[in-house]
Amino acid sequence: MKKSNFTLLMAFFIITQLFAQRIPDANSNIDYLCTFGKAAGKNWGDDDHVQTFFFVIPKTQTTPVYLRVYDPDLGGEIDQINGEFNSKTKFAIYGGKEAFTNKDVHDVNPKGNYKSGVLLASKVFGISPKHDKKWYTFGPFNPLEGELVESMGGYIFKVIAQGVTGDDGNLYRYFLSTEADNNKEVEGANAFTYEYCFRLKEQKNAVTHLYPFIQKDVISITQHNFDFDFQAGDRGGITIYSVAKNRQRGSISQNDGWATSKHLMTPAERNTTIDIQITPGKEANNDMVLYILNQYNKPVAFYTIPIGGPPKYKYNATLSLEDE
Amino acid sequence: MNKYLLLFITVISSLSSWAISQTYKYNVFNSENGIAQNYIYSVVQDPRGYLWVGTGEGVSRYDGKDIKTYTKEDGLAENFITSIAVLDKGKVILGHFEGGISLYDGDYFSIVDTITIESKVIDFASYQGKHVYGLTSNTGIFLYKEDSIIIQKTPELQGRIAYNIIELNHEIFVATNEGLIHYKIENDHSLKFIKEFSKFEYVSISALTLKPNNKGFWIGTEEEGIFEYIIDEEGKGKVVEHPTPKLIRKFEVHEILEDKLGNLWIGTKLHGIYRLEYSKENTIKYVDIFTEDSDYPSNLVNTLFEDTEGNVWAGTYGDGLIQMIAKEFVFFNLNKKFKIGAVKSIVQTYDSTFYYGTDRGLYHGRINYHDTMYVFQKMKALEGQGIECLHTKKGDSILWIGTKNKGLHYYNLKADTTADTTHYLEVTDISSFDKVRVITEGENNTLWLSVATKGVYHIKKSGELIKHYDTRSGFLHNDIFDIFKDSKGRIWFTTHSAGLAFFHDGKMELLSQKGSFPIRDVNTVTEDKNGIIWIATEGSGVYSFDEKEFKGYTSESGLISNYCYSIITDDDNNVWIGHRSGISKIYIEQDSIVVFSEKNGLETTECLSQSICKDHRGHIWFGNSKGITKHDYNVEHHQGHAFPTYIADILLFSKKEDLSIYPLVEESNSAGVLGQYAEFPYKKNHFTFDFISVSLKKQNGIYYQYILDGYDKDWQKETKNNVANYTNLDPGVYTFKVKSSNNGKHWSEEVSYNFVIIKPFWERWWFFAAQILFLISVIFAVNRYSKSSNNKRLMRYLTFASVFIVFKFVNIIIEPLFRDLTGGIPIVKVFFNLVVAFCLLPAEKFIRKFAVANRNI
Repeated sequence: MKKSNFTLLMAFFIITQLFAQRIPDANSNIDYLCTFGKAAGKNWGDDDHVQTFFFVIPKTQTTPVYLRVYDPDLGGEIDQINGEFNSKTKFAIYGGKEAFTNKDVHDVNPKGNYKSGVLLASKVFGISPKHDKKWYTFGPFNPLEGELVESMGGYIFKVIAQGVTGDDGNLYRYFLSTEADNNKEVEGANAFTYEYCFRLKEQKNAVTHLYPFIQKDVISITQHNFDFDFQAGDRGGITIYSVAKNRQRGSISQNDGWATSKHLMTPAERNTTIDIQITPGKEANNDMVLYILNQYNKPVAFYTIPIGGPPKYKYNATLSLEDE
Repeated sequence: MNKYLLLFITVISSLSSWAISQTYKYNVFNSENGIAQNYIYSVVQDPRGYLWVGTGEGVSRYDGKDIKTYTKEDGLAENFITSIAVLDKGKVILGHFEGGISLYDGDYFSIVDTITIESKVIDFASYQGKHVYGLTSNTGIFLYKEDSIIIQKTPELQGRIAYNIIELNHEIFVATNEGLIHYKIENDHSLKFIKEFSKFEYVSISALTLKPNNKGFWIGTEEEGIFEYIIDEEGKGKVVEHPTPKLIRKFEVHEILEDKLGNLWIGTKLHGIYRLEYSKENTIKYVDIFTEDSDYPSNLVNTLFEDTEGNVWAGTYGDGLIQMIAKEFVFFNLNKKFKIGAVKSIVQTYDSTFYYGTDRGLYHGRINYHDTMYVFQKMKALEGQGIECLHTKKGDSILWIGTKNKGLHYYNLKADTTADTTHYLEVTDISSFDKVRVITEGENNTLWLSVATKGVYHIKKSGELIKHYDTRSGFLHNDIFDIFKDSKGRIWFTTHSAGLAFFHDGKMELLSQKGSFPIRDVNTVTEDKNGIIWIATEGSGVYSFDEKEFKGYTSESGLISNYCYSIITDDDNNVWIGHRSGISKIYIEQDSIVVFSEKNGLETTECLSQSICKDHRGHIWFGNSKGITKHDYNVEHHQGHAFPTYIADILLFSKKEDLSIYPLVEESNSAGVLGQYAEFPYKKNHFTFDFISVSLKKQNGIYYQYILDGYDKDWQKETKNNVANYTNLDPGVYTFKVKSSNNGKHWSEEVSYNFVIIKPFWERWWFFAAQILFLISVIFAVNRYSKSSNNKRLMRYLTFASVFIVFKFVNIIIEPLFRDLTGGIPIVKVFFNLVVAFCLLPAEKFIRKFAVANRNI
């Protein structure tokens, strides 16, 4: 990511008075992130059994921060059972040098040294009733333990959820908090990811929103989605909504498959947030993956809190006077 | 807050009672008052006493007075310090967040390495004093040896987060988030993997601490409680579970510290500190809780450390560094709560409850297990009545109560608690309106009572009178202030005006009346462990009696006052005395006295007569006019302890210089070789000595004395100032000496610095000789080659010049010696110069005769 773009990004952070950091955010209409066990088939909706999120903590934050995970265990009502619950998920938090700036980190696939940085905390969860539908707290963390990325305006912590064994699906949420026992936002913080793996809301006509930020130099993007489970007759779909697009349709994938579509980015859309809107189909408990690449084949980050706010389509109205 | 505790306090509050906590004083050090940052990762103390504090933005060094912070600008590899260890010779090694290693050699920082280690250096384990095993968070162990870093092969640690490393008997133990790993140190210092403890498979071991005697270590876990690794008599180690209180078990143990007194301090990640105190049978006796709910500054404990003075330091995560000083004295203001005007008597009964006899009735107090709360509660029994004295026999369930005007009562501690009533004991000739001043246990289940104006009654506990003693029957006085039974079975009586007496084998020994004991106004008596009797008097101090003689201690010896109202010996066999203006403590072995008053931490004084008690934990309780003052036995009191002194800095003309550039020379005198001295040129004659004796508890209570041998005649008067300045020193041999004390009585060993200021060349003897030779040469030259009148003047001038030079030379040599004798008085100096001049007169005459002989003058 280029430096100049991030200066603007920082400005947006300040302007929009960001208060993260429930992930997924309530506005996104996503209830849970999901990560399946290593042995789970991809048709369950997780292509690589790894989900990486980044948390940016502003330099002004001096008190400790905590990363809280809701329902980190595997079991109970929320998680996706596959046969019987036999899986384990590892949550690991990284900071320090190259936690974010290592090149392998900026990829949608977990390969190479994607676990770069200083491993600050980790825990493996399996079946654990005492953690079921409860918050587990990692930390406290000294903000300075993150990787200082000046262009991002703060310290970055990387959180990796990885399905280590089994074939069940772990559904969970994150919250970046200033308190160990309560969810209290960190002022000015934000979170982002390059690849979203989540469960679609089951309500009819519910719309899920993902907010990637389109950099200044991006002229086109390709959206890639996996295992949307599209079936003929489904009303569900993926559309792009932005200042210049009023729900431009994107391709949607079938079960255990990928779909890709390219979308040009107009000058008006550059340096703004666009809204990827996903309407679910008929399938219940539908987990899917989505990511976006720019024309350089580099991933575009989805921000929990949209930079600059959710986009509003600008209608072009043309007036003309008819001769009588 | 614990919900049961809250409920308890709520209930208690509704029963006209009062709870008070906090017997510790907290000094918080944070970024606002000097510490580099509020995240504390490591705390250590070097041999000089300096406290080193590693933070996320530098390392701070505290000397008890000032904090100095060092960063990359001072030579550190990184600003983020994650671990510190002290090496031999006072060196300090520092580990950093990104794998850097720095070293402090006593003067300067240097970077050891910034490349080899790629992970946070989280802990060190010193080995044989010279080498250090460093533990990284994610990439295993390295060895620091002879200034180099050697990575150890520890594949077992890959993928884990390591927290602690310790060395024990040539073995290394590593705590990780997934178990406990054991290595052996080979001869070449490499590590050989031994095993993973199966007991802790996948258990997060969050704390590992060596025990003080190196006979094992403590193991703290995230959710499984605390364990001990114990080495048995055969030298084999085994893990046993420690009976962690349920209260603590659910918290993640982040740090464990066993202090010098054997208490166990448990620092939790998010829930404060718990201090476990053990009985002699090694069961947990008390738990002290330090959380934000009990006004402790922080719940986030990262590290715990005990310094050489016994203070515990808690490094927190975001709230700075907290120095926890156990309050030596804690004052409970019962006047404020209950309007009590005097606590006249204190006893602790068999069930550890305290009973207080006051001018407004009876109160009881209790310290609850699980917390530091002292709960005081008014009793209905004898409500509003003046209580003069309380007595209970050890292990007994009866509390005896002497009242101001209600006679003698007793209270059954087992049976009467519900009804909360006392029973009046009818004794012949003691009415229900009498003032019972003293109750003392006698032989064979009897009591000795002092009844105001009526003398002494010896009774059975049933109330049956054995004998009554008053002046009608020849007893020494009708108003007995104290009755004390000693280990020999003697019953001692104290009075005002009739002095001291004791009763033994049917005989009364009137010590004061016979003149054996010189004092007539005596308040109270006690006995120490060695059988020595201690007597507190009204206006004449304290006396000890060892069966041979009475030895007195007065305000001249150091007591705060000669009016001594209460006296007791503690578990260390020191004597405590209560006065109106404070408390005195006599250290019997050292024969020294220390006093406590409002000036040094005692909140309220005005101790009352005989209102003193030692509880089951060894604490001393003093009753006074406003409540109770408790002295905590566990607080190590270092009044008698001298701290080492160091010369921290030597400045020349107020500037720091590298003194190693000045050569060392061997100086000697007529007595022999004096030693090595640093040699300074004559221009470097302005010295400033900075010295320090580090006390982290009471730095402003340190006194210094210094002397500059070769300049000062005697030691300077003791001062708290730790800087000495000497300006315009003459050339000569000097030794600067300094020593320190924290009470003005016990002084540390002297430390010294030897130096010599060499003379300028023109003051050297050879220069004078050269001058004289030159002048003589000139005289001869002029004499030989010129016969004019001008030469006569020149001749005379040169003669006098050479004589003057000789005079000056002699003056410089002898004058310092003369000054030492006369003190440099000007008129004496003038007289001395005249003497020298007269001595040189013959020389002047000789030269003139010589000149005349040569017909030039």
